[in-house]
Amino acid sequence: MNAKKNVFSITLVKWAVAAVLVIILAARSLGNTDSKTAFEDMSAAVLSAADMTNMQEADNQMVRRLYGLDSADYAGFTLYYPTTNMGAEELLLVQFSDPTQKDTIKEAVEARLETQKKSFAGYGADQTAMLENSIVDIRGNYALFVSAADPDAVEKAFDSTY
Amino acid sequence: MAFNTIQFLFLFLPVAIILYFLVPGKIKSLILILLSLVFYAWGDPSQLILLVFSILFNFAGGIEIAALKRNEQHKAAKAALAGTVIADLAMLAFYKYSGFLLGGLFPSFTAPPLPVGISFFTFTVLSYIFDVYYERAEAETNFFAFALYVSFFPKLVSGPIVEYKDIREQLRVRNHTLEGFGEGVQLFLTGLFKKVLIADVLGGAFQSVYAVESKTTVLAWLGMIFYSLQLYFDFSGYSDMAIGLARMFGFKFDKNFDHPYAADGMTDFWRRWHISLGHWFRDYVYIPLGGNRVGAGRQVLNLMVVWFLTGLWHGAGWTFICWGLYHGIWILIEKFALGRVRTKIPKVIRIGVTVLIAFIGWIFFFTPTIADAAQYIGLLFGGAAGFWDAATGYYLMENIIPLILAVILCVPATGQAFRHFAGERGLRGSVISVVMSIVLFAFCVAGIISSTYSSFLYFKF
Repeated sequence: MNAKKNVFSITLVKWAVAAVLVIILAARSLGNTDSKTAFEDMSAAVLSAADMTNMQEADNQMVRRLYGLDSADYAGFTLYYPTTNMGAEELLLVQFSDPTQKDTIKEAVEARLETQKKSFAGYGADQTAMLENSIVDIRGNYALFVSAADPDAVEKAFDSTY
Repeated sequence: MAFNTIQFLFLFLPVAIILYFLVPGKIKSLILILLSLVFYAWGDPSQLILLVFSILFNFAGGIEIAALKRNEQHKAAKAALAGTVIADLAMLAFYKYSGFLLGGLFPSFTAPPLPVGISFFTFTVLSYIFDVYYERAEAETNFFAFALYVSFFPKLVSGPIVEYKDIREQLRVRNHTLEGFGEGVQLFLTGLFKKVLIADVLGGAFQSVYAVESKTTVLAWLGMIFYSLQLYFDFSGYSDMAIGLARMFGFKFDKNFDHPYAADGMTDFWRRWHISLGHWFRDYVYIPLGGNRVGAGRQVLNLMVVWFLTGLWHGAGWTFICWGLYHGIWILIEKFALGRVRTKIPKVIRIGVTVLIAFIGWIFFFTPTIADAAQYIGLLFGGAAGFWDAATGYYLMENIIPLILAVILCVPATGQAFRHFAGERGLRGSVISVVMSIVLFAFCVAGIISSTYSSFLYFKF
């Protein structure tokens, strides 16, 4: 009888582990649902949380140059890039017009980040540290990439407005 | 994290080696588990939960199945096996196949990103669960030993898929010798050389050729050859690195590749290519289905099931399924139609035909659809824009050295000659071996630094 009880406890533990995974995955997937916040509101919230002193807004030509993307393809697109070649500050906010754009943005951000890291590798310790601490947050219908002195504050604003 | 990165070579690996050999024997396994979790979480910690789940769930599953068998509750044991296997496969299916299965029905559905190594660690835990159920191994009661079996970083993301029954003892007791460590270092360097200095170079060549819109017949052949060699050196290089790393930490894994492009038949090819996956399907699918002990009709069905699943394992797409069935059909032809007639054909021709069949098969790997694969195969046999042009000559001459080097290294005699040379005993032999290793390492590091990072092809499987 004891042996059977022990087996029952193990079975219980096994399925409890599975249940925890399902709950976590479900919570993650719910957290990944589209945001109803308008792009203008999201953009205002994110920009107000960032120190924009060393950044300037990019036009579509600059977006193409830095990210290889056409901003017109997206429901909303804002890019701020460093005012000088010695800066590593950057802020990108994108609203997708369809879910397939997620991968494109992810790859473009990764490529940009890699290029920036290579540019500063070896001589720009502060810039490299800033890039290492940068945040990429892609969820639902939005993507945020921020490289700044305090990227957490920007992400917090993104979180609360999402 | 990948083995061919500066972070791994100059940060993770030295720290791992120092920590592992500094700590007392009792906590060596714990250190390896922690290192493996860091290795897996590097870059994207969000997927770590799946690995941790897999370890906890299957550890409990193994104990449950063994206890039910001990209590002679056979039906309940079978149900526990089914439940555990279904849950493992459901997780794999959700991440790997949901896009393939649901994407067609619901165009707006986007599959979750594929966690690195999920196919490999799922097959690893399934091997354990089956071994326990079929009583080929006792259930693991030491959680750390089991966690190490699943998560051990050298094999975690791209194999080899080590079967539990083959490694059980090593999870507890390992011999650490200087000689073994040295063998591991050499094997690791061989793999790094294959990846950085051959596979990545041929990969670049293949990308350039594949991008040419109007290919000549010879250029199409060149593209196929570049890709086939790249795939072999990429994956066998990774396997060598994994086995070499494991050897440094006292483990002994069987080889995963054995000169597959020197095989003289498709059955022989699969005894030499991704050996651990072939063994897995043999032990856990083909033999349980009846293997060779059934009639010819059932054998054909069993083989096609195995090859369908082998294709599907490689990727969620019709091209991969087609590739699996393509190999299955050739194996059936070899087994049932050609039989002994095959042995009367000169060996060099048998090898040539096998290489041709295997190379054509890889076209399904690099083309996005079956129609694209068919079109590419058409280019090989007269459907191209012409036979030869200036661009063809350029791509051939530009890559002739790595191409020749790769072909030479595919021949088993090259490896034997190298081992003979490097294995010379005494002080002179040791000096030669160390100098060669340092030079090789320096070239590899230079290769890594000078090129952009190139992931391993098999990571996506």
